[in-house]
Amino acid sequence: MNFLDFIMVPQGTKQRGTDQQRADAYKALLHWSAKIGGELFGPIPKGTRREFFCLDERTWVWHEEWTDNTGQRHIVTTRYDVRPNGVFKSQGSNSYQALSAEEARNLNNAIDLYYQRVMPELTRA
Amino acid sequence: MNTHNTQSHLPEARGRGREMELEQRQIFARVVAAAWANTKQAFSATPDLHYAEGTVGHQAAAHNILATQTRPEAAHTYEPVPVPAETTAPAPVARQEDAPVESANAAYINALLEQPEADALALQEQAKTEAVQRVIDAYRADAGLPMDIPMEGAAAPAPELTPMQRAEQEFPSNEMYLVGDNEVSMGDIRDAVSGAFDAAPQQEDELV
Repeated sequence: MNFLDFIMVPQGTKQRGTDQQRADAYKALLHWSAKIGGELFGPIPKGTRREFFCLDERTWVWHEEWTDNTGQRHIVTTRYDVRPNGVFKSQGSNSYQALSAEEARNLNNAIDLYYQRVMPELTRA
Repeated sequence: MNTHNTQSHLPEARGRGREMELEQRQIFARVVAAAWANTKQAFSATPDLHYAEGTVGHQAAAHNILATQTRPEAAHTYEPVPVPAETTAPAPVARQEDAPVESANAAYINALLEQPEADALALQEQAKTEAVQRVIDAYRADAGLPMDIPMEGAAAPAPELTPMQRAEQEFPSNEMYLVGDNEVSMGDIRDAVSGAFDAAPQQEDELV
């Protein structure tokens, strides 16, 4: 082992590989749950990509891609930020907006469905 | 409950990966449970949002999230949702341009947004945006989708990293390593190596 190998190969290389495996496993779970979440809203039109998932303890994400009648591709990502005194949404780089009663109701039902579909698989032995 | 799914069951890893997969499942389950509970608590803290569970069929209600999003063609695909007569909330925002906060809770929401910790929240928001973008990029890469379609409203892509910047990412300067009996930081090692090259470039071959 030459000098550069000695200084550039840290003691924790094995740990780094394990951490990467953990990250990959977690990312796979996120992928899977996002697809399940997208299917909660009925049939997905052909050419459309739709995902809904829990990003962390205080964030839900709705992601949709579709092509309009003119052939232009659209991508919209909506982030629902859960704060102690309410849920706010943001799209792209836009500022946060409060939810209307209707959207809050729909989001509430959506997270219930997501929870019912995802949790049994996650807690399965 | 919607059953037209193709991947309702998690694929299972085998061997040594199985243990790690179970561990990550537990972690993710805790995250989902916490997010669900936090969201319920947040909704309960805003009594003006008179959402009523069970008043609309679950699938149809979830369906209608799309009706409140920014797609004009959504009206052709899904049933439009009438605005409840008992609420004074305005119609959903048509597009994602900046819209003033006009809900019944505008007063306290605006006060919240004007609080001094708004800057800290903005930083959190940026971090979350970047995290979401990484997740989205991973999805697109996995699905073989082109990566160059710009996201509406997204910030400009990050500049390409120089070799030194990539090296800093891979081996952060503050990461500690054992060299002999001493613990040194990667930053110290880099300084020592670059100093050795600067001082005696003709000795480069000896370091290989």
